[in-house]
Amino acid sequence: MFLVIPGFAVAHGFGQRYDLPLPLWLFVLGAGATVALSFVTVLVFFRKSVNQTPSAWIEMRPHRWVTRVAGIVRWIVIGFLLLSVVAGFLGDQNPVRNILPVVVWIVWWVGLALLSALGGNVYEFCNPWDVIYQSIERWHPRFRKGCWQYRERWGVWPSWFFLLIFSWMELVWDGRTVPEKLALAACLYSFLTWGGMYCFGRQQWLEKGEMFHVVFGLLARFAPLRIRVIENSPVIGFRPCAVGLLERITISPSAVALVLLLLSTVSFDGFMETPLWARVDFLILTASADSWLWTTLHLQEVEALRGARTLGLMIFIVLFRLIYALFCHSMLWFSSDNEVCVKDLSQRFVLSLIPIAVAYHIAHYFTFMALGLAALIPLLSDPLGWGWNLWGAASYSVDSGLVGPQYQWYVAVSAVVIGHVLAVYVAHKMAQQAFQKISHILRSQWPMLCLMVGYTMLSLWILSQPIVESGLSG
Amino acid sequence: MKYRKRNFGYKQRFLAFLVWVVLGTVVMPISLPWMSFGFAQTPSALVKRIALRIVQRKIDPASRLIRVKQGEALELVFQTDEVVDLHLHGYNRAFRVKPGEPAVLTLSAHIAGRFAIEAHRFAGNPSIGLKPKSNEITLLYLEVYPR
Repeated sequence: MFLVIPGFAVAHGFGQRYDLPLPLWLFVLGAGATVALSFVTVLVFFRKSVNQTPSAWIEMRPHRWVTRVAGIVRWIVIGFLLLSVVAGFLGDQNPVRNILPVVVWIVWWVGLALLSALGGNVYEFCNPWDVIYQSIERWHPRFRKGCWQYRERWGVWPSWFFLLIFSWMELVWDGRTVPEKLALAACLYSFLTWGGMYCFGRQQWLEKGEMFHVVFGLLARFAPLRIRVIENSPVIGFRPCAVGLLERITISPSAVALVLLLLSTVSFDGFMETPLWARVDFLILTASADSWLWTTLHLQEVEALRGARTLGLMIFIVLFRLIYALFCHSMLWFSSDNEVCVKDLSQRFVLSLIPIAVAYHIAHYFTFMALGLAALIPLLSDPLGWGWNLWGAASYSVDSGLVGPQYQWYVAVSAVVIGHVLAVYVAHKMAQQAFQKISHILRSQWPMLCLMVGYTMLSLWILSQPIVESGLSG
Repeated sequence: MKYRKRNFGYKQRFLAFLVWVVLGTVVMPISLPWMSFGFAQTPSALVKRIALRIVQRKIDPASRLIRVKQGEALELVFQTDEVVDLHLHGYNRAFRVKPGEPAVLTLSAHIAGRFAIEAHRFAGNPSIGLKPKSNEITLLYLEVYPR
């Protein structure tokens, strides 16, 4: 006989994924397609001449009512975010009953990242910190100019630093499912962002120090859509996916570091759920009572697990940088071109890795997002967990079988392969911009191809590993 | 940034934009339930019965992964040497097993996926494991594969 304990089962389970590992035949098919299509892409797009015409936008202006509706939607979005933060402070602290963890991790981080990668620079228009500061600027001209000059050599290091902290919060921090701590973190970030805007000027800080603007902006270059504002009216432009990454702007060394940090944290997130990482957890959990962890470092078990994760994250970050540097050096060596330097190459080619990151993001998080958005339905009726029922959906329970495994597999592998092909295409075009001679271009592509195939294989491998629940809760 | 307007009229461009929006935002969510094989299929009459023993807060490594096909009926019989609260994720079933009283979990595996069965507390004690502050231990995994 068994006893079902009512209500108990709701106690945890935020951020669950029930994905089955990729079957072997699909993994091999994906890997084979990756390698084969890489060569096909390079051959098809190989051109004898290196003259490039910039890719044209198809632009159109929407109706005036679209602009007005967009303005209203902007404020609704911001209002929703503010309410979520309030819910974080005042509402039920159980992460499954409070709307804030879902909003931060699913709607904001995963959802907005994917929306930026596929739908363009939407974040620029609904950035809460930007919009609120603009209102402050209109109210008092004192705020329109910054106090100090932002030095160019500082680059986007503030954003890099914030992204590092944010990644640590996402992967290791125990407060990531505690609504109150999340709300506090949001307030702290708001304070820092507005402070930065006050010190250096709104636009300067946005482009350099507002982490989400920089990250989502980089991802938006991949999108086939772009919204510009000309003479106070929006203009929507379309062009093929990933071509935006080829725009000739110089990426500073700090931006290279930022892109690599983004890639490494996304990959580490997936790696942490594999059985290979579970061995590290296992070693800690089964360490004997006189192990150096407890005697010399005086750690609690949970602290040791977290420390291992932090260390793993650091190692991944350093590893990605080293491997990328290695491949940039290889490209230079293979091409035997005397006019190009490694720094220039590394700055040019870093954006070509973004399609693979976006593809992996889709493959890894799409079920997570589907389940999370389904979980949002009852939460919208009862955001604070106080027993409200605003739209009558509070009793809706999420069906764990919402996304079938076959659908998930096919979407994952298709996304990874398509992302890889786009990355190879972009890298090839970048090589055509970087090197003058055809032979240099072709020879330099070998290391780049190896790097991309390797990175795609890592993504496929992570997808084919069975998900192992972490030793940490939440 | 250079851009040049192509020779499309406003109507054609708007149509292209609509087609793009429809493909991107409508087809994907609509295809989700159609392609989702996660919903119930004809259940089979045979019941698979698996016996599991929890000894010293662990399950024998050979039985840590249960693989079934979607639609199969499953009976998991748990025996333990210590009182334990178990929780099956996904299906969201929680139950308590006491020593000397085998607990049976009957399940129709209609949802496909990989689900953890976790022990939430042993002997009524919220902190489990040898060191303080452990929370849940995953004892085994149930994998339900589509047909």
